[in-house]
Amino acid sequence: MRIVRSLLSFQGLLVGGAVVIVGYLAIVPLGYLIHDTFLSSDGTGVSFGAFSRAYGGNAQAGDMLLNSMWFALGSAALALVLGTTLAYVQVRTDTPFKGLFFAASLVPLIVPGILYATSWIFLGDPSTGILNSLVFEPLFGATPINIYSVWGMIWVQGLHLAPVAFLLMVAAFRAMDPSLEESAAMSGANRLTVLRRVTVPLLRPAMISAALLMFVQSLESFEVPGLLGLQNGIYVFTSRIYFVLRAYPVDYGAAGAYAIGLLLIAAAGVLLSSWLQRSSRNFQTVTGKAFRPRPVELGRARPFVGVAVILYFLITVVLPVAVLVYASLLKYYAAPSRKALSSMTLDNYRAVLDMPLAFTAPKNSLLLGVGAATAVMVLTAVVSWVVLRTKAPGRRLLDLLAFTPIVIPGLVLGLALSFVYLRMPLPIYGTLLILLISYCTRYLPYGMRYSSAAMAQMSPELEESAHVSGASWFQTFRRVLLPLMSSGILAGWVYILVVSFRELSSTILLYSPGKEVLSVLIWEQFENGQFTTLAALGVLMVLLLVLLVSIAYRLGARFGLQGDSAN
Amino acid sequence: MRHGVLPVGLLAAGLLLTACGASPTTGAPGSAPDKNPYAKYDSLTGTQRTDKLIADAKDEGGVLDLYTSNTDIQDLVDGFQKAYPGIKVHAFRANSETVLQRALQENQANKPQNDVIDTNDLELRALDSQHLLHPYDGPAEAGLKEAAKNLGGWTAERFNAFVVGWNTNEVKKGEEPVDFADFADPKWKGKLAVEVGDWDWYASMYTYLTEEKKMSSSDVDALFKKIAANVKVTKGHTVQGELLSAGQFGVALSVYSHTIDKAAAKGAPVAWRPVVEPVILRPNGIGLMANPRHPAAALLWTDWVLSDGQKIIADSLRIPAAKSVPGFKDPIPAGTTTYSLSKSAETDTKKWNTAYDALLRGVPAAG
Repeated sequence: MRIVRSLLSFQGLLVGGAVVIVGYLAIVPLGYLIHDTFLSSDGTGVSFGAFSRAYGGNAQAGDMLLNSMWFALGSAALALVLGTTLAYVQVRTDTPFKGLFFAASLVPLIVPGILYATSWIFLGDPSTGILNSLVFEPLFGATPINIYSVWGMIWVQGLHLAPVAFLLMVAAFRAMDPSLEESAAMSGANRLTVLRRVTVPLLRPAMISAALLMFVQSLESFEVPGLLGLQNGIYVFTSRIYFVLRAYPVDYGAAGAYAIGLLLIAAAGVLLSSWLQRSSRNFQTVTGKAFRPRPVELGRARPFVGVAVILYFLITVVLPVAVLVYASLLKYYAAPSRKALSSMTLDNYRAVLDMPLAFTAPKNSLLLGVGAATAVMVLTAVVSWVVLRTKAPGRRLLDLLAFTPIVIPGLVLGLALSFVYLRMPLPIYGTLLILLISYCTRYLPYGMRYSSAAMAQMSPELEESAHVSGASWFQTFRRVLLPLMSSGILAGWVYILVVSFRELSSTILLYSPGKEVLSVLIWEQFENGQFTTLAALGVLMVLLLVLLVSIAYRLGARFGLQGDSAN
Repeated sequence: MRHGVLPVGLLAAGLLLTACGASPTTGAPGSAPDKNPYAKYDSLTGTQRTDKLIADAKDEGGVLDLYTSNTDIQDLVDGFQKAYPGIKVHAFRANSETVLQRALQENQANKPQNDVIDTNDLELRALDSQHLLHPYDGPAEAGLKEAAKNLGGWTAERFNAFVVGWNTNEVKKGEEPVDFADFADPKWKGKLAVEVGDWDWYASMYTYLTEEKKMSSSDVDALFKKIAANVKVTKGHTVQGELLSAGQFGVALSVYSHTIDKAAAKGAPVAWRPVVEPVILRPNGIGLMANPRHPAAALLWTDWVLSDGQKIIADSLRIPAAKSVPGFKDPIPAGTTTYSLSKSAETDTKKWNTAYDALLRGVPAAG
């Protein structure tokens, strides 16, 4: 009876509703996957045949898994170091060029993976790459850069992922009371010791969340390995899934067996991260005590940091984007020369704007991006409260469940959703709503990590005092928790908005004519078009998203976020 | 609230899910339909047929739902809507595997959403084997090449030509490759490129060598193994074509002739003639769905694509299926050996797909 009563309260409805929705979103594709993986071929019993098809025979699963792990660990580590350093400099120092900095931190995320990787091919190809042929060859007489190596893959993926870490860490640094570091410094610790003993340990929840997300995402992605690794025969785990999903009839069992392999790795990661965060008090940096983050004065180091900022900006943003802009102005790609420069034209942009979907697609992408980002962040804010603040049985399971969509291949998610909604009487199949459901499912794990990293920094004493002062649960949630978590929530929102613009693998199965999105246009050009037109489309998309993200941060600043991005 | 709600919630989610259906993969895909939705137009020809189709198509709602993997579809849609302004075409475009999956899923759920499908031959064969297509025998069939008809439930509307293309700066005049078997020579090491998804090219080339050149399977395997040692693998035909233009490798073994022709027309240093034989012609076809929502519109579209629409296909540098198209000059020089997968050929896509994957990774094919 107590359960029924508490379910019927407003709080119960809200929290219960969020839990049910999140559970539902995660269980649909997972159930579909598990069903297909373990169903024996005669359709009656349980079978493990799919695993031997997937990992046995000539699959080289071991080698590929090792390649994958190497690639994923390297990328996650690089991205974590870069993202955290950037976030620290951005939030906690008086570095020059803060605005530049912000662009540098986000643009690599905004450029679609296939274009970012292709730009790096044109920069880092051992024989024809611009960096080798125009910089290293004339200056040093050597061509040291080879983008088609594991190091090249880690470099590109790491740079592409660094924004994930950056967004999470910016939020974490903002919610951290610098007085802890100051007292350590007062007590005689030098800067390095403070960093090692105080700063890094305090940021552990956010760093673990970022590392986990980036690691699993690298294991699961095929864009960078497909474009860079294949040239020298570096095969990764996902190339198996790629081949399996292209055949007919598709061996869903084998695809599922790969996904379940990834799931085990991811689950170990989630459990490890909650174990590492077990003594949660240690990370609660937002307490009842007021604080104002005061920037660290860089002093004599300031010019050097400034130069480093500009260098980073040049390498990760200007170079690849410049290659895209350069390619988008050509008739066909050729290394820079007088002939190439004299043939530049705006034809590719004209071709993009002449596409019949040039206006519908961005509109639908925008609707979906904003819708998915908002829905996911609201849901995960509530669910992360359940996971971190209540003692409800099954909360660990819920946390794990919300993480599972990250390992489900996009096509399998698409199939699961079309299977369910083709059989449901509600008019969802064939509308934008099914895409929204798909995006909410895919980005649930990201939302969850952003929200729970932010929640882990809140001390419950704030909620308790609100409660004592007579605030209802909802008032406390809305007036105390949400504003304090707003940095983290905004970061997750921006991330989901940006990545949903390029989601293709489930979109391509689920969209309907008239409901096209931008990624479908990109796909068409990638599949069988002109690279130069693709580049023009990419440049326009980057412009649109940069604009959107700046608006989001401006609005965020108005609603009480510390706006240290603008100055 | 602190206790008990969560299990209840999860249970509810689970229950909701079980209510949605028991088993994702059971449920037979359509069996042969008992009635022919196109029957009443069978005997009609000429303007009588067209007028009746237009009138009925408008009665159906003036809409055609088309699923396609043809990336030049917009030109056809524009041409059709110019010819028949009253009919609106809704085109779902995706890669051929996705088009196939979508049609299969919808038909399994008994909610077919499309009237016509336009995709690659192997996907059409798969749909046909599930009895989801209805053979076309309208008036336009008479004008088609032999290779384009009598394929079962579908009809070829154009051919994509897989050719060997090269960068003219990297491969000098007079040094162009002549014979496909030459690519086994170690002098090509690192200079050749293939695309990771082109198992259908591999299937055709392999079958050509065994069926037409009468090579033994083990010889063909040995040849491909040597060639594979020389190749770089790329992903995506657009990127492959662009990297070829940029001179990142000398030769692409499996590019579309129209990709090279379009790039060459813009001045890129690429060529595919003189031809390295054979040119692999992959039929891309059109299929009338067995359970259409708009049968008249479907038939009207098919009649048009296989007759007047052929001109538009020719203009986009593809090879039309019609015997003669005014103003069309075949990009394939006369007398060139061409090859398409024969009817007797192994068309098990899974077998070819895994074999190609194994070839590129350099592991034995069995497994």
